[in-house]
Amino acid sequence: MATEERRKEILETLKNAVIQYDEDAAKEFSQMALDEGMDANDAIFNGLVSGMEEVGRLFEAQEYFVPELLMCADALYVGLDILKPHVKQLDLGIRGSVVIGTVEGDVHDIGKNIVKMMFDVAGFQVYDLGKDVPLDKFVEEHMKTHSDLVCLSAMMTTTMVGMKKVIDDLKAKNPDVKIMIGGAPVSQDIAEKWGADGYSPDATNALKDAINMISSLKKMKEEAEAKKGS
Amino acid sequence: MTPRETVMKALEGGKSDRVPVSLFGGGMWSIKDSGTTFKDLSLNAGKMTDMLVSLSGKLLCDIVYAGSGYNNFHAAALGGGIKFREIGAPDLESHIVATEEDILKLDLSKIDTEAVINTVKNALRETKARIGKEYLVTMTAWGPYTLGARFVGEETMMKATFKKPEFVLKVVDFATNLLIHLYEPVVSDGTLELLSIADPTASGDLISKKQFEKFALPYLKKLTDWAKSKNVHTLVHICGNTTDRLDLFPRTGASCISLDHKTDIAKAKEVLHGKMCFAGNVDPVHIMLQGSVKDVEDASRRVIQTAGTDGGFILMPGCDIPPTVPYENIQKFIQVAREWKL
Repeated sequence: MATEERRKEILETLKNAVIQYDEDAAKEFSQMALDEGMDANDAIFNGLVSGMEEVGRLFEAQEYFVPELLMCADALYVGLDILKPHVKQLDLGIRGSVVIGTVEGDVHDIGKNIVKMMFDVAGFQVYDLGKDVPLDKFVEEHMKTHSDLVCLSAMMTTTMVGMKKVIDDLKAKNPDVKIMIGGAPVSQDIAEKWGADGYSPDATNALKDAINMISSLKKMKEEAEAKKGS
Repeated sequence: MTPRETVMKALEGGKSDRVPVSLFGGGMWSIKDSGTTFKDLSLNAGKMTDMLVSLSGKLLCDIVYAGSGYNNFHAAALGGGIKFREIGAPDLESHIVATEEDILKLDLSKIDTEAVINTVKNALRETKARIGKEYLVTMTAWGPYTLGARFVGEETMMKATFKKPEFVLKVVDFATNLLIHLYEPVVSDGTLELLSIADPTASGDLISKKQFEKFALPYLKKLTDWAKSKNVHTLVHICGNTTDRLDLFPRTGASCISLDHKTDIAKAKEVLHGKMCFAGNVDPVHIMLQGSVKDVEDASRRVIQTAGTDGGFILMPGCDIPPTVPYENIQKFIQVAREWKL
């Protein structure tokens, strides 16, 4: 077992490897964490993910932009690939499933992929439809998978209008589904106007919102069942 | 003054008799409004011309854009293929450049024989012949960084700016040469007075100021230098919040920089006025799409009041507009500027 001091050193190095998009260090120290008997969850959440949180802060502060974010995500994945097989239960206390994709006409999936990664790391079941997804496909996939959540992304002012149709169709089929939208031209007031349950300006907020939405969904289900039982 | 003269005056930094005004591109809106499709027009220069001419009469937009929505054909012509779709502009099917060797294999002369590109050029010439005295007729293309990223794939290219920066510079340089090759015939025969370039992948929301300066700016400069040598103006649109890099825009050499609604237009006036023409920046979604006619009027007035009363300015939406923007909103947007005497 690694000493507390050594544990902290490894966690700090993993964190910095992600922040400084150093794939070699992420690889080396993820392996070292395992070799020295550290808990994989500890290395992931207090090392790699903690680094990604700092990256999120740098992004919000406009010190980092998308290319930096993509590099950091690569370093994170290198570490995850090594650590994930050794994780007993990767869980933030809530498990959910999500259908995610970029709407038809839009081939910009950088933002969507970053959100997807956050869901992955948090242990969500993610059904990624990719980019340029025909609008009906979102409804179809949601009905097939019974996902808790559907996340729609658009990066263009010219394609975002497709989201409204998907929201209407989804709510018509399943009023309980939670829908989150995101992307450069999207805003909170558009989410409200078009009937989405949430809007997220970035990936960190998307994850927080998703956890809240799924918590409220589960609570609703429990209450409904409790009623049935009584 | 004709609408054309009004814009030309602004491009030269001067004051026209009223505020110049235009959409940026507007291809998707126009095609939807005309009840046609991108595919339908793609090989029919006559029909494309008719659409541009009749919409020009309907919108009274000072600039008329041939080819808006067809920009991906410039990369597709060299391989990669095109996918038409029901919603949205035609897209590139695949990314064909992964290495420096791949760049060397690309044949620029294919641009000259690509059927859709030639349809756009013919429509441009015919439109110019019909309404070119009255309106400023231009042809659209992606900017060098965006076009380069179309060849490589946006995500791959962004990572390559760290992993293989020399490769990225070569790709963007190649894209610049492609643009010059594309525009050369319609510049040489006197058709074009203005190149219209959109560089959305070089957005202020996507890449840092430092990366913009290294990977986008020198190639915009190369393109505008060429245009200047031919006595042709350049209009460049950069998406996203670019307030932090306004000081770099005069170095692009563009005649006019079109700014996103997120950019601080008061700051833009402060930094750019007297150095270059600038355009913007009414919110294309919040105001143009979702706002009332009154909202459009108020927002347009606000922008003009802040940035447009001293010349060297064109009123534009902050980006291309969604196809579902109400016609009445565009009408009001144009009207506010047309009636604003300088």
